[in-house]
Amino acid sequence: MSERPRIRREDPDRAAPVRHWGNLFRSAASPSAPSTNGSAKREPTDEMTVYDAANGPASASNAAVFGPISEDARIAIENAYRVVDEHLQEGRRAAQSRRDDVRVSAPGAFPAASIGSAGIGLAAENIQAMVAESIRFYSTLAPLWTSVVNSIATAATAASPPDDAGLAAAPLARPPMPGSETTMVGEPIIIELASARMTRVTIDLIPQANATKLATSGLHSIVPNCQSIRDLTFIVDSHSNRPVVRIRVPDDQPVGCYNGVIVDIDSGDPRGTITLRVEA
Amino acid sequence: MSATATSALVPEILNEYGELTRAKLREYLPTCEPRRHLYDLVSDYPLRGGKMMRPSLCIATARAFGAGIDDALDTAVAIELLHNALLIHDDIEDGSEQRRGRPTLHVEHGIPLALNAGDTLTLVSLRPLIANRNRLGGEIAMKIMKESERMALASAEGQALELGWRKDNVLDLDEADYLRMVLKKTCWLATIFPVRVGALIGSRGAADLDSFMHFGFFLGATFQIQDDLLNLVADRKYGKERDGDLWEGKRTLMLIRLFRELPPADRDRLKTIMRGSRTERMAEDVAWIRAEMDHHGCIDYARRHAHWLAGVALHEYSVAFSHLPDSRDKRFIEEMVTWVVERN
Amino acid sequence: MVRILAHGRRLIDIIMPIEVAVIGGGCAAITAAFELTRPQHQGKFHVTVYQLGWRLGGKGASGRGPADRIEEHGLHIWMGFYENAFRLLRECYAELDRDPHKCRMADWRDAFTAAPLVGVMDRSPHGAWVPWLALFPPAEGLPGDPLTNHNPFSITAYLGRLATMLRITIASAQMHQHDQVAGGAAQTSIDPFSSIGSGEGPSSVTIDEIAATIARLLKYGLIATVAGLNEVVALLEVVLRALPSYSTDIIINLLGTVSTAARGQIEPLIENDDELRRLWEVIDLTLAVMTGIVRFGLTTDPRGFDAIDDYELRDWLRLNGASERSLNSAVIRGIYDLAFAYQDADPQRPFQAAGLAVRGSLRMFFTFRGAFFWRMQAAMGDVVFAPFYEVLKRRGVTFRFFHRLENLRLADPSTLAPGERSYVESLEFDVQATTNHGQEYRPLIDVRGLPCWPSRPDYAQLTDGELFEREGRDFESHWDRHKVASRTLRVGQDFDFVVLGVGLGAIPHVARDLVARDQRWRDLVNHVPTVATQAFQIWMREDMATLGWRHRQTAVSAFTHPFDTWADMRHLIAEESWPRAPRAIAYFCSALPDAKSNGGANEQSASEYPLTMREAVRQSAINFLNRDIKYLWPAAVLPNGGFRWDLLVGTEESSHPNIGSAHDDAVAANSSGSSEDAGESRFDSQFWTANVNPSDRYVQSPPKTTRFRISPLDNTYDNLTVAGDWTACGLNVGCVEAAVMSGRLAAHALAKSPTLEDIVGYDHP
Repeated sequence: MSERPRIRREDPDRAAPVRHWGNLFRSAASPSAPSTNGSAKREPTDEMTVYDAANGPASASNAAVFGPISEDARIAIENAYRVVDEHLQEGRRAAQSRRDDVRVSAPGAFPAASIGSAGIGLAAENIQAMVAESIRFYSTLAPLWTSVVNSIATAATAASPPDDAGLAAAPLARPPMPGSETTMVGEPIIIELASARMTRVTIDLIPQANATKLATSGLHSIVPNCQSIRDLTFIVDSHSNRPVVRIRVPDDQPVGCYNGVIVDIDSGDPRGTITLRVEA
Repeated sequence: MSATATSALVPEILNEYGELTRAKLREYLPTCEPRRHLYDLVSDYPLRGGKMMRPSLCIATARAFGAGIDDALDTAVAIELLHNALLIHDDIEDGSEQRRGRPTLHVEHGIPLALNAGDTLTLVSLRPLIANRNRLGGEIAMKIMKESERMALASAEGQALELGWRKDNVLDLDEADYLRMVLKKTCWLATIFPVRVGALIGSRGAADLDSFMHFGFFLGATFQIQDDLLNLVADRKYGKERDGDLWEGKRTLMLIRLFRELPPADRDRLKTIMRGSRTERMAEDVAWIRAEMDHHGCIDYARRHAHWLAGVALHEYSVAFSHLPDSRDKRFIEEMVTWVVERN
Repeated sequence: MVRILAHGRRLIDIIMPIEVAVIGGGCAAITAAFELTRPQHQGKFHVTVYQLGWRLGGKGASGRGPADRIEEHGLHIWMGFYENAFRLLRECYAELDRDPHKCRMADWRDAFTAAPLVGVMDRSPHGAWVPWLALFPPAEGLPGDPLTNHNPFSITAYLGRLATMLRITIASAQMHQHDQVAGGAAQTSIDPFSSIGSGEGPSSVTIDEIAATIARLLKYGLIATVAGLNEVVALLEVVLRALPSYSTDIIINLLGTVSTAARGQIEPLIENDDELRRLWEVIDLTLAVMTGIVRFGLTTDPRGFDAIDDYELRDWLRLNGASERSLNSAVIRGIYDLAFAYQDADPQRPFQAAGLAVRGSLRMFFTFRGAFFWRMQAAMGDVVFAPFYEVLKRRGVTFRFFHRLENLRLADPSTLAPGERSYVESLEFDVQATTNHGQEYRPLIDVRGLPCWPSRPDYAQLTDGELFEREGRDFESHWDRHKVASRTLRVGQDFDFVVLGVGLGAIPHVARDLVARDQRWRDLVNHVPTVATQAFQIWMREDMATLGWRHRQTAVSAFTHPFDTWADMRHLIAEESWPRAPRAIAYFCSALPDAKSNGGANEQSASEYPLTMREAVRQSAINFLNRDIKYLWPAAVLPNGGFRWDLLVGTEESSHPNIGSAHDDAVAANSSGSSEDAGESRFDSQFWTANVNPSDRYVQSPPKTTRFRISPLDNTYDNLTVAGDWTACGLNVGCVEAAVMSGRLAAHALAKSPTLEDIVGYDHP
C-alpha cells in the first residue's frame, strides 16, 4: 500500500446512549431519523436495508416479550411524539429559511415574512420597528381569523409544508450519468498524454472538487500482476493558470483498463476517479 | 391515602399567582370612554375570573429558574389578556352560549360589538409585552415578542383547522390529526408559550426551548382532552352548558374515535347530524351521539389517552426541569400534570 | 462524481480500501472485524487483526490439550439476554454454512444448548451449605431473533414484571406455609376486589376505586390476612402497570404496606424453614428494588439506571429497605460472584455499582429468550472463535499472529496543523515468532472433524520452533519479552484506522503515549479496576450422582471462597478423546488476589510472578477439594475427610493408553512417577490457571467509575476507536455481550454501521 494522506473518522451523531424513557416511543416515528432522507436510501452501502433483508421479516410477537405497555398506548404516544417533533421541525425549517433568505418564508409554517422580521440578530434598536410591526400584525390578526378560516378550510390538510423542503440530495449518491465521458465542473482539466499507444482517458470529479489540489496514487489494473501506470501528476499550468494532468504511458504497457482514485491533497478525501484505457 | 387528594399546592399557587396577575391586569385595562360599548366589554371576560393556569405556569417557570415574580408578571398579564381576547372570538365562532357561568359576550351584546371588543383586547395584550423592554432589556423582550408572534399564528392556524373541519363536515380524522390541531389551537397559548417564555425570562435567554415545547405540548394536550371530557360529564358548576361540544359539533377525540368505531350506516347518520348548524341539531340527536360514545367506549378511550399523555408529560417535565434546584414552583409545575388530568 | 460499477460496487473501494488495524483478537475486536467486513460494505474496509501468541479469543481463548481435553480461561456461560452476541454468532454460523454430515457443529444450535436450571449455594443459619436450584421455563423466541421495537426496554415494564414476580413469590411462600402447617386456616371468602388485577390495564380501575380498596383493606385489618395481602399485591401490579398515571406517593405507600404485611406474615416463620426463608429473601429484595426505582424516580430519569451508579448495590438496596439477611443471601452473593465483584478479590469487600447491577440483573431475569443460560458444547474457542476466524478469513481479513503491540504512538503535537486533531501516527510491534518461509501461520487443528485451537502453538510452523519449544517460551505471558523482530506500522502507509481492542489491563503497557498525554486515559486506567481470576478443571472416574450431587446438570454460584462458582460439565465428555472416558467433569472459578509483590522493580522476581501465582492456585484448589468439596459432593471425600484423589483421571493415561486400566488405579498412579504421594500430586495431571496477564484481568464495575469509561464513539483521536468490555458500551459490565456491543460501536464509529439503534440495549434506560 502506498502512502496517502490520512483519512479521518467522521464525528458521530452522538457519543452516548439515549437512556430517556421517552426514547421508547420515538423509534421510527421521529421525522429527524436519517432514513427519511430519500436520497440516502439509494446509497448502495446502506447497511439497514440489506441487514433487514438478511433477517427476514421480524416476528410480530417479540414486542410481547418485553413491556406491558399496551399497543394502544404505544401508538398513541408515538403519534403524539411524531406530531410535536414535526412541529419543531417545521419551526426550525422556517427559522432556517429566514436565515437563508429574508424574503422567502416556508409555506404554511410561520409565514413570518409578513412581519418583516429580518434575521436573528435582534439588535435592541430594532425593537421599535418590531413593536410597530407587531401592533399592525395583531390588529390584523382578529379579522384575519375569520378570513383565514374560509381560505384554509377547504385545504385544511394541506397546511403543512412539503416534506423534502430544504433537504439537499447527497451528491455522492446520485446514479452515474450514462454517456458522460468526462465530467467537467468548473474549470476543465487539461490532459497532457504521452503515449505511443492508442489511449483514452476519462476523468470524473465530484462538483466540489478543487481542481488545483488533486493527487492520485497511480492507475491500476484489476488483472493480477499487471504493472500500474505511475507516471502521472496533477499540476497547475503557470501560463494559463489551469489545472493539468500529465500522464506518460510506458511503451510496453499491456492493453487494458487502468483506474485510479483522485483525492484532495489536503484532506485525503476522494474527489473522483480517472480511467485510462490502452487500446490494442 | 386517597389518590384523589391531589396536592394542595396547585390550587394554592393558582390562587396566589392568579391574584397577582389580576391585580396587574387591571392596570392595563382602559378605564376611559366609550365604556358602554367598548371598554366595559373589553374588561368583561378578564374580570369574570378563571383558573389563571396560563399566567401561573409562566410565572412559576420563570421562578423555577430563579427569576423574580415581577420579571414575569407583565408577560403573564399579556398571556391572560390574549387568552380572553381569543375566548371572545372562539365563543362567536363556536356559537357558544355560556362562559364562566354567564352568557357569552356576543349573546349579551351582539356579534359586532363583541368582535370589536375582542380585537381591542388583542391590542391591549400587547402593551405589557412592550413594557417588558424596560425590565428585561431589549433582547429578551424581542425574543418574547417573537415567541408571541409564533404563538398567535399557531393559535389562528389551529382554530382555522378545526373550524375548517366543521365547515366541510370532515369526520374521518385520526389521533394525529387531532393532536396536530390541539397543538396549535390549545397548547401553544395554554402551555407551550407560558413555559417557553417563562424559561426565556428565567434563564435570560439561555434555556433550550425545544424541551419546553415537548413538555408544554404533552401538558396542553392532556389538558384539552380532559377539558373535552369534562364538557360531556360536567354539570353547571363547570360553567359551560352540558354536552355543549356536541351541540357545537366540535371535533373532540371522542367524536373522532366514535366515527371510526361506528358501523357504516351509523357513520352516515353521524355525518348527517354533524352537517347542520347548531340550531338544526335536535336534542335526540345529541343524546344518540352521547349514548353511542358510551356504547363504543369512546369516553374511556379518551380518558386513557389523557393518562398516557400525562405520563409522557411527567417524563418530559423531568427532561426539561430536572437540572433545576428543587423549589415550590418546580413542584407546582410537576403537580400541574396530575392536577390537569384529575381536576373535575 | 464517483463511478458506481454495474454491480453497485464503488471503484474507490476496490482500488483503495480503507486499511483498518484491529489490535487484539477477543470478542470485542473480532466483532469489530466482523462488522467492518460485512458484504454490504463491498470491500470498503480491509481489516488486519494483530494478535499476540498463537490463538484468538482473549479472555475467551481456549485450547485442546492432551486427550483433546478442553482447557479454558475459566467458566464461560452465555446468558439468554446476550442479544448482540447471539445475533452475530448466528450470522457467523449461517455464513460458515458447514456441512452437517461432516461437522458435528454445523449450526449454532449444535454449538449452544439451553441451560434453564441455575443455582446458588445457600447457607442456612445453622451453617450447612445447601444448593438452591431454580428452573427458568423457556421464554419466547431465541436470543438474537430480530426485535420489532428499536428499544424494547423500559423501567416501567420491569416494574410490572417485578410486581408479577412478587405476587407469584408471595403466593408460593403462602402455599409452602400452608403445606407446612397442616390444615392451615382456610382463607376467607371475602373477595370484594375480584375485578382488580384481572383487568386488562388501567382502564378497568380508576384511581378512586384503588384508593377506596386500600382504605377498606386497612380499615378492616384485612391486609394482615393472607387474602388481604394477595389483594394488595394484585393491586400493586395494576397500579405499576398504569404508571405513571399514579403519583409516586401512592405507590411507595402501597409497597410499604405490602412489605409490612408480608414481613408480619412470613418472617416469624422462617427461622426453622429454609425454603420459606429463601422465598422471603427474594420477596424482600424485590420490594427493595421496586421501592428504589419509584423513590429514585428512575422510570423517568433521563439517565436511566446510570442515575444510581454512584451507590454500591448493597448500600442502595439497604437504603430502600432490604434487610441485612437478604443482603447476604445466596442470590445477592451470586450476583457479585457472577461479576467477580470483589475489591482486590477480597470476599470481605464486595463492590458493584447499583445501576449497572440492577440493569444487568433485570435483563438477566426478565429479558432472556429461549433459556436463562446457554451452555457451549465444546470450548469457547472452538464454538465461537474458530467459526469467526474461518468466516473472516473468507472475507479477506488478514491475521498476523505472534504480534505483540509495544506502543501506540500518537502524532507529535507540534506537527499538527491548526485545528487538526491528534491521531495515531504509528503502531510498534514486537514480532514474537516468524513462520518458515514466511508462510501464513495456520492456527487451527482438527479434532475429529471440528476445527479447534490447540493449547500450545504449532512449533513446527515456526522458524526456530524446536528451540522455542525447548526453552518453553510463553507467548501469552506478559513477562516473557522474547522477540525475533520489531515492526512499525505507519499511518497512511500500513493503516488508516486503528481499533484498539485489547483488555483494559494491557492499556498502560501498549498505549503508554495515550496514558501519558491524556488525563482521560489516565483516569480510565486509574479508576476502573481489574482483577485477576483463577480456575481449575477436573476429570473424574465417577459420575456426579455417585459423588453425591443428585441434581440435573447446572452451574452454581455463591459457594464458599476461594472457588465460589462451579459447573457440572459432563456434556463435554464426548467432545474429548479419552481412551477411557471420565464420567464427570467439573469447572471451578473465582477472582484471584494479587500477590503482594506483583511485578515490582526487581525484574527477576517479576518474571517469576506468573509461576508463583500458578502455584498459589494449585495449592488453593487442593485445599478447597480437601476441605470444602464435601458440601457439593459428599461421596467424593474419604471417611476421615480429604478429597479422594484417586477419582481424578490423569492425562498420563492418554499418553500411555496401554497402562491405564479399569482395575489398576494403583499402577496408573505409580506410573506417573511421583511414587511417594499418590494423593494430592494427582492434581498435577488436571488443569488449572492463574489469569494474571494484564490483558486477561477481568474488568470490574464498582460505584463511581462508570463516568471514567471511554466510548468507542469518542473521536478525540480521529483515526482511533476502542473496543472491549471496559469501554462505555451501554452495558458496562464485564461480559461477552458488553464486549460485542463495544465491537459494534467501534464499527459504527468507523463506518456509521451498524446504526446505534441496531445495537440492542445500547439505549437501555
